[in-house]
Amino acid sequence: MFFRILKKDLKRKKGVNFIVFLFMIMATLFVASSVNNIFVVLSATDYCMEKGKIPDIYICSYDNGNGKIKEWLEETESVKDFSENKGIFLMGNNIVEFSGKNGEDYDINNTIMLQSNWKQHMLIFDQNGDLPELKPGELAMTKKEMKRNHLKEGDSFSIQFGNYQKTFIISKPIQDPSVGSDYAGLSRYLINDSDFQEIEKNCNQIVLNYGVNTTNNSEFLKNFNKMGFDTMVTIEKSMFEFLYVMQMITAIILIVLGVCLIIISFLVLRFTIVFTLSEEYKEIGVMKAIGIKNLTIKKIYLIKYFMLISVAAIIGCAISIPVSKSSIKLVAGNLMLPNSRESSGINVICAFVVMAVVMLLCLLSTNRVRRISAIQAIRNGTTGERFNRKSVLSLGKMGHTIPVLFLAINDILSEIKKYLVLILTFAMGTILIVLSVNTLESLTSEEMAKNFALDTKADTYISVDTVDGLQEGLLEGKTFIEKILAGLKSDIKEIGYETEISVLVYYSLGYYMEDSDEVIRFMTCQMVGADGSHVELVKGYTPVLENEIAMSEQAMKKLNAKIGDTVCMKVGDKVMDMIITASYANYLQTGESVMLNSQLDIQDVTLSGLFFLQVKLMGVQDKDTALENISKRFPEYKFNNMQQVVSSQLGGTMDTFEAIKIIIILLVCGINIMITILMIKIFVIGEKGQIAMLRALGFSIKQLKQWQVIRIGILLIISSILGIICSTFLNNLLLKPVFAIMGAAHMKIQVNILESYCLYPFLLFVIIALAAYISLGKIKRLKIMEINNIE
Amino acid sequence: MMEVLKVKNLCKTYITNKQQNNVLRNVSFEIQQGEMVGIMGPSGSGKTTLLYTVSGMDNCTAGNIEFCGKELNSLSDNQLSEIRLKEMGFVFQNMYMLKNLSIYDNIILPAYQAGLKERSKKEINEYAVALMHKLGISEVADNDINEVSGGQLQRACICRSLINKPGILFADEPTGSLNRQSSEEVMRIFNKINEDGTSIMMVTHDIKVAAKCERVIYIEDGTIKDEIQIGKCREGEAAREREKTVSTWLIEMGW
Repeated sequence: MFFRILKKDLKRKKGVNFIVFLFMIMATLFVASSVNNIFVVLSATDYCMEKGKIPDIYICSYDNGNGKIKEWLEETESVKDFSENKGIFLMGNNIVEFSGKNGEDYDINNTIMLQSNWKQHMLIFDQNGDLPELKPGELAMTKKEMKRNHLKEGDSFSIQFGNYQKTFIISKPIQDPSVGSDYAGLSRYLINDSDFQEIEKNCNQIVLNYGVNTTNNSEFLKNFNKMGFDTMVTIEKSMFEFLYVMQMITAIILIVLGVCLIIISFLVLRFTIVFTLSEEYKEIGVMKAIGIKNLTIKKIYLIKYFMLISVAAIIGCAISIPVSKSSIKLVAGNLMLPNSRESSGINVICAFVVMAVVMLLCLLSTNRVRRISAIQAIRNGTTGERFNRKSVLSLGKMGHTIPVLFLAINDILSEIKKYLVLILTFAMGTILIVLSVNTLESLTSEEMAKNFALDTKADTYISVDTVDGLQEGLLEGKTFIEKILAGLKSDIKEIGYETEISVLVYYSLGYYMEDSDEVIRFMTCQMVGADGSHVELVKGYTPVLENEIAMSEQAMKKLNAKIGDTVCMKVGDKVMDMIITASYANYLQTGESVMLNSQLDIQDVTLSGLFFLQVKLMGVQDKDTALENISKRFPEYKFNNMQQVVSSQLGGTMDTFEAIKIIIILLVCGINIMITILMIKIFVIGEKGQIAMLRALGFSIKQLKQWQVIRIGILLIISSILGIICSTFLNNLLLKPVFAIMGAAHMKIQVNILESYCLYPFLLFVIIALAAYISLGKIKRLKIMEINNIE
Repeated sequence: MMEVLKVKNLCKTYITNKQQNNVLRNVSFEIQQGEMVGIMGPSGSGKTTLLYTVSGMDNCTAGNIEFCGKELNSLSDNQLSEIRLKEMGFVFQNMYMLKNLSIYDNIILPAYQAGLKERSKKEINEYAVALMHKLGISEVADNDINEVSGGQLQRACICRSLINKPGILFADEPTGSLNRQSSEEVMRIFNKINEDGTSIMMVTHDIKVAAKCERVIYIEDGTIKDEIQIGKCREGEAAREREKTVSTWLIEMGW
């Protein structure tokens, strides 16, 4: 008999049951894929570090042939073991041809280091996670690099150093657990040992890489920095882990999204179960009256939901496996993932957990059956609830009100609890959309560009690897670079444009306080061709004199220094006393850097690198035409706008966030549509008596639909306002710390008012109003003459 | 006297489980302005269907329904809604009211819906207060619908049905859920309304209620079997005589 009751129930409320069933599938899907994500991604960084054999300390230095670093490493007690590997920096002008195209068109996003595989540390792997065996003449790079330049396996790749030229064939893509992250500024291209030795003989851009495992990192660094070796970078293992911060942030965003969706799913399920029971008060009362036991009545509902959740859990679990894989792929980017990603055990366990939670919700909700007496149930069965609430508004006391608008507002105010699920869901959706839009807006903003010490007033930014001679500048120093900039300026002047050209160069220098013997190495930046006054400071003034520097807040904290202090700066064997004039917070070296004044000329230390050339057009009215003429005059240079520069620094992060934004918008729209349809169906079932009565009184179908749509619309407006207010707080609470992790503690979160507060709320409004209107078709089928039979 | 409602050869057929069910068969009758007509008959005879069909709430399968000269079959859904709102009143057995509105707001809602062009807000409010006073529910105006008795609620429903000054009032067992005292009170009100010129068509099972009507139509198996004219019920007139007349007639009908 119970199965007959069940069958009838499923058939009678097939719309509501189907949507509840969909929510059960979604709950399973979200729980399973999110938890799987958490497990895989959280373990992925550790896995990468372990698999790639990342050393405690990585040192990169130009090979000046004296072998001092190696000697020192061999003698130092705090060194457990170390390995050496040579590398060659590949500049834009070293690439002459790729896949039949001119090397000038090659898109170099990062610094490229050509090398053969390490034997002990910093390992590179093939797609199967094995060490790749490259034949002579083969060159391998990561998928990301191949994709950027549309390269495929078997394509040609020719390089040139002076008169020496060599052509490689692109091999299968590799995975680089050390610097594979989009956030890393280095891409490693792998070649065969014998090929490397051959190139080494014909090239003067050799760098020495050291991987060092120590007994005590700080002890080692203290001693190493004291030695004042000329190094380009000295990086601790934690920095390699930090390179995956964007992947972790993306993973956390997806996890938060998953949690929101789980909350929505359970809220809806609980609401629906409670509603179904209250709607069937009368039946329950009748069953009780004829002597059916509480447990037996509860069984009907428990069996119904058990059947629904069982099927939903199987479907949800099955869908979650491919969804987990693709979401991990989206999150992980170039992270090497542990094999557990193949495991679907987590998904199955999650499906069981969702089943248990749904059954628990159902059990708790069905406990109401025990609490009500037969007569209570029957008497309240007419509507399924008692009306203890007083009406809030008064039609008679209000001005000229449209009755349907009045009814909609009064309904919400009188029974706000009933609409909480909708308000919460819509608000959560708004928050998710606003946060994703704001994140993307912040990433592409001028504010973000300032955090890379870019002069946002520059008219164009030239990629340094495309400018002849600048690579020699790394070895020759600031004066040499100034000459190149002056040459470029006069070349541009020849075609009639006055310019100011500057470039940010950086060194790796050691610093210590006079009263401390601990030397800490920081990336030290210097503006060449400009005074650096465009760099935003937190406190103080831009260093002007030769003995003045600005220091990032994090670097000052590490050095225990403050503005006005004098710090010792080690430049080769020399020590210079520098006064800190300002503090700042930006992304340079993840927040730990020093900014030199533009006067000082450091001769004894090799430059670690150069940023983009910043070109300002002076006294030019039609800047677009000027830029077009300049780019025609210098076709070999790659001209970028500010956003392209920021994009190149953030790597694939922007694409990932763009994809996440789209996923969020689609998910929120989909969920809102489903919830609206479900709620409308539930409301119509619950209010059919009132609807029939209003029809009898002379309200047309159109007006009744307006009543329901206006009510949903008002709820959406309330939710949007709530969501927007909450997201304003969450901008600072969630997004600011994320940007602070990367070094910019004072980053102002950008709000795209048009998109966040107008476009998307309006889009949601239209979609929901349409969904509501369409799902109200049932009203027409409701017969007024059944008014006396309506429960 | 002018005909408010003229029904000719009305047929209503339902198809359930591929079976044709002729609920109304060639029903013809008229209701004059100011007339109070009771509809009686055994359960399933088609009384309620007749009431809802002639009031335009349900479509008829065949036949003509003329309301104040307008052919209801030819009107659109919106036009029918307009007529129901402005020219008809309805009272049901289940005292349906909007649960989130006070008694007063429930009463004035149809007037506001009809628009404030023809009548001002002040006029509506004054009329509503007068109606409530007439029906003796002024003191519960601001109450919620769960705070009043069944009799008061039904009187509020009657007030609501009269707020737009309809030409005809349709009532479907209006005393069905009420006790004897409340029923009598409601019928006294109906008589009063009728005396004021409002036509009433009422479905009932109650002889006492039917005896208050001017004319009673007996319907069986979807057709009008007979009707009895008992004249206007005057205040103070011995109810027992009228009830006896109706009762005797009903026995003849096989009630």
